[in-house]
Amino acid sequence: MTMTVNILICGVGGQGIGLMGEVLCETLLQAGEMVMATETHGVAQRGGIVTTHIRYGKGVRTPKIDAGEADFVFALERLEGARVARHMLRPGGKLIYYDTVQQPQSTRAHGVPYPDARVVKEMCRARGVEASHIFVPNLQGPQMQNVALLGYIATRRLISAVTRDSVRNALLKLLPAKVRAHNLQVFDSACGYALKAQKNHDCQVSLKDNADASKEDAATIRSFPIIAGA
Amino acid sequence: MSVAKNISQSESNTCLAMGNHAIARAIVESGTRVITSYPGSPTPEIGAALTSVPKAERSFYFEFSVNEKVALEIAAGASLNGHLSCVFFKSVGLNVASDSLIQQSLMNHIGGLVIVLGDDPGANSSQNEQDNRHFSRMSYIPMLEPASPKEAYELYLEAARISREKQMPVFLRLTTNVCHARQLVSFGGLIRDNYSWPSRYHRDNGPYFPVTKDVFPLKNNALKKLETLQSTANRLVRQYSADTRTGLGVISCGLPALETLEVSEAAGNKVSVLQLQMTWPLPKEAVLAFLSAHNEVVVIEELDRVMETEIKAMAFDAGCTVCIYSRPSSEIMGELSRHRILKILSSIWPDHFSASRKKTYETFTELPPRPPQLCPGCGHRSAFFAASDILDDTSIVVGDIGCLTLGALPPHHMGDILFSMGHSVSTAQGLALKNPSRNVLALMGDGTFFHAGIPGVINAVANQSNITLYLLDNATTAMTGHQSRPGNGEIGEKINIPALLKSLGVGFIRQADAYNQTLLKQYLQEAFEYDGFAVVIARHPCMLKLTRANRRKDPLFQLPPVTFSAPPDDVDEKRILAFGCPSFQRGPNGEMTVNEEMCIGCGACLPVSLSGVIQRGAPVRASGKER
Repeated sequence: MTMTVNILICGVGGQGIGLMGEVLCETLLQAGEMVMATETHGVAQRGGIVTTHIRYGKGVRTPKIDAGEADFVFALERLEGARVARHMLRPGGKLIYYDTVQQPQSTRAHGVPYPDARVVKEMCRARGVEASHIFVPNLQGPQMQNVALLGYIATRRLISAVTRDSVRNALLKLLPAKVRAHNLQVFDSACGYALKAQKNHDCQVSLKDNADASKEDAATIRSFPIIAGA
Repeated sequence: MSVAKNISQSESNTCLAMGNHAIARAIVESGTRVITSYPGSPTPEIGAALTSVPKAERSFYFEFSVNEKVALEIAAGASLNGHLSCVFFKSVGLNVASDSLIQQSLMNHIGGLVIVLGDDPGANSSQNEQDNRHFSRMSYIPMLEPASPKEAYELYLEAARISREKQMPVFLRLTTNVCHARQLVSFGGLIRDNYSWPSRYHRDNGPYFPVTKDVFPLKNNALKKLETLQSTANRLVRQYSADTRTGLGVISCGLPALETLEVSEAAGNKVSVLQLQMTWPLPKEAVLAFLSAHNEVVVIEELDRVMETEIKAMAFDAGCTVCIYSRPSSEIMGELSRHRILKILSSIWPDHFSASRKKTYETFTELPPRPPQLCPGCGHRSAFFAASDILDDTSIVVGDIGCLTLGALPPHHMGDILFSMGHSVSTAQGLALKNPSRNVLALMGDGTFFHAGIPGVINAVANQSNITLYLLDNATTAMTGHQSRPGNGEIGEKINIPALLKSLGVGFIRQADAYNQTLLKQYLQEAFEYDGFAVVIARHPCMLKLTRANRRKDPLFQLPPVTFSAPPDDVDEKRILAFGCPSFQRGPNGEMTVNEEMCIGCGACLPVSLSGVIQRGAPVRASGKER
């Protein structure tokens, strides 16, 4: 059995954090890991912070991850990625986030600075953790960002049980038939995008503006039909 | 596998189950026939799981009742008629149910009654973190406490068995991170039967009428039943022994028991852990044996010192010389965690446990907080915006429970006082007594109005209280996940709110769509001027529910986002920020922009701009149906 691994998934209510957690749990179960997980609910779906905790490996009896213990933080929103990574990652841990922005009230009303990707990277470096992100240009339907992030995680092989095939299988199992095809398309395109980005050595942190993504990459994604999720 | 399949599949199976879903499966497997509830975190997924089974395939009757007291009474009544019954609700729901709860141990429950509680240590989604273990002592009802989804499943079956056998109610107390935890759980098979719903109520099974001196034989009976539970309580313990003989032990229950065990194992397993699954009545024999086998013991429990006090008394009575430590008083607040437990253990046994220095990472960069907020399109936002123009600095706004509780946060600041569900009208009546110079506005949602708000309205009418009720009607119980409430849903529009108010004698009733700012402002002004109890209803369907329903029909459903025809001037910008729709964000240079991923195109913001710069977007060409 592997040593304990702690994964935190976070974002803003309504981003599909629950599904992402279920998919990762499913891939880990298929790989024979003993998994425990828990998730925050309550008022979370009203634009608040949502987290899913996943723990597996030797000695795991309980589902909650404590501060400074997470090996990975997978975030669906930049600010929440930064916040949770800062508080929860262990030294040397990794933050991977989908680079979308949902400004909180104080930013909108009082101009409280919202961190840009460079600030997040610097913060993480100072904190002794690694940060990288993905953004898929022209991804229609924000409900698909979770699947795009899964594509990135699977392609980068961050967790041995989480591969392109295992995530695909989990999506097939967990998604309702109606939205399955669309989700798999987004997943595949995100995998392709991540692979290309990796080859170009800009996978760690693409500090470039998202609009700078090579025209070729953007075109690849654009060629997919309009996409939406559950 | 879908949740519906999970809980209705006949064969035994193993799956990754959430605690709430494991409870739902146990409900079906145990042959529980009547299940009632009032929705509230952390338990509503039990109801969602049960209702995911098509009605024709259900071996049970289920309803979300109007409030927790009603739900408990229905389940109890069904149990007196011979059907195994279950009621579930959140922590503070027990306060509402308590008036009928206390009598339940006096009743001979021939069917069986399991009361499932979702307690909320840490107040993640409640107005307090009350420790409902106190209720088991007050009501003479035994209590079981699982630590995980697997134990939740097993202990529900146990609770049903005890309840049926002893014909007494049984509590099953869950906490947030047992309800929402997931782990592999092996379920047993389902026995399909054609339950004929026999009516077995007979007064000879009672008496069921406790008044004056008749209370005492019934109470005596309840106390005797509790005494017969010792063998069960002693069976429902788990002991994890230390590897080395340190003489140190922890007694615990629920999730903290497993957290303690994990902490101890990580530190070399030097402490034995006794996990109690029945936490009332406590298992005397098991506890005393554990105490006498150890030199030093700590009781680790979440929230109040309930077991600790009783275990200390038990040790004293038995003349046990063991040393029982107390947790520091700072630890009786909030949800426990492995870190907190390690801190407790290292403060008591520093030779065996060392808590790492707490690092704080908050100093690097200021990050803006993210409080929850009303959804784009929410009618409550429009209702608050209209009211903010009418209220002055001396006005008092009384808040209530529901999505509208979020109105207390910036930018709305609507709601200064919050006690409980449905309190607002009566609290407002009190604030308005002999206080004619200040306007008092009570906020309430439609779900809460039905739940506990109506008596306050009757009282305000009868006493001619000069207050205004601002009833925000979104036609659903939105905050907890859109369960039906008596005015809508599965049983249709049976109860008409304005008609009900009229029949109660309310002299001033006006209603408008919440997006109609002009009308709402006019009505609120008239209501404040009206001499007597006035009600203004701001109606708009829950847009989260509506958007989801539309996307279920067409996954690509999207109304075009609004746009700016020109940059908003200072007045408009101020108004848009006061309106507070999260779709309006800041661009790179601080300019106001529309987040197209967020905007649902509802148009609630159109009347907010005085200069008319907010415009409906052009229709989107793409639609799922084109492909």
